[in-house]
Amino acid sequence: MKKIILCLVVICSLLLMACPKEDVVRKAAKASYSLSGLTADVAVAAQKAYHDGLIDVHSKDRIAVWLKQISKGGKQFTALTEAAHKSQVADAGTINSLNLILSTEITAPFLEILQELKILSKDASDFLQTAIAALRSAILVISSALSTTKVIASNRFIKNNRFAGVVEMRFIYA
Amino acid sequence: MPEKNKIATLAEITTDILLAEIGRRAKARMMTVEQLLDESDANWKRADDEIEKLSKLGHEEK
Repeated sequence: MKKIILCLVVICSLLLMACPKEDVVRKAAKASYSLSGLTADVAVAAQKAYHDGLIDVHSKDRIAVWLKQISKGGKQFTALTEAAHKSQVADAGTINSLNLILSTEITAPFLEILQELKILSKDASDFLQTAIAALRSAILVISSALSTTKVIASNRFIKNNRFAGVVEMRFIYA
Repeated sequence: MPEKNKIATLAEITTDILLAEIGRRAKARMMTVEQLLDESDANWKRADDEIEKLSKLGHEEK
């Protein structure tokens, strides 16, 4: 029995280790899927909040403006991801562009909306503050999916390496 | 609406958003890149429709 359990544990570990690391395009596609869904959900939630008298028309209008900005940036992000997927190459330039859109056009306005909600609920229960903090964390995790740290380090390495072509391909699909 | 109910409603709204996101992440693991991008396009369209409705609220009389 112990041997059977040990075998199962080893097989499961091997299966888990065998899962390939996600490539940049897949990470970007997942981020796009999450963010687009979040944007739609927040728009619906803001309508409900307005109908229930939780936010006034000025807050509602501010949130609508930020959501429009997110939608515009988000569609650019999705289009760029699609292009990278079709060309099967996600070079450093593409990744940097994706990161820029993610941080300035999508994450920043989302955080503004959460700040608006936080201000409105400044005397609110711990539970609400925790829920807003959790949503903020979720958005920041999504936006860090395409961290540029690796790109910058790899760019320096690629420049100095005479096998640059091979290294670049390995980086893209690492 | 009493303040206590407002807070409860806001907490419920925020939690619903979080739960929807957890559901999406679980679903995303089993989707291909093409499926993720197609769903993104559909979500952005839905978002635009909802944002349009949100923008019009409170300005219908004008």
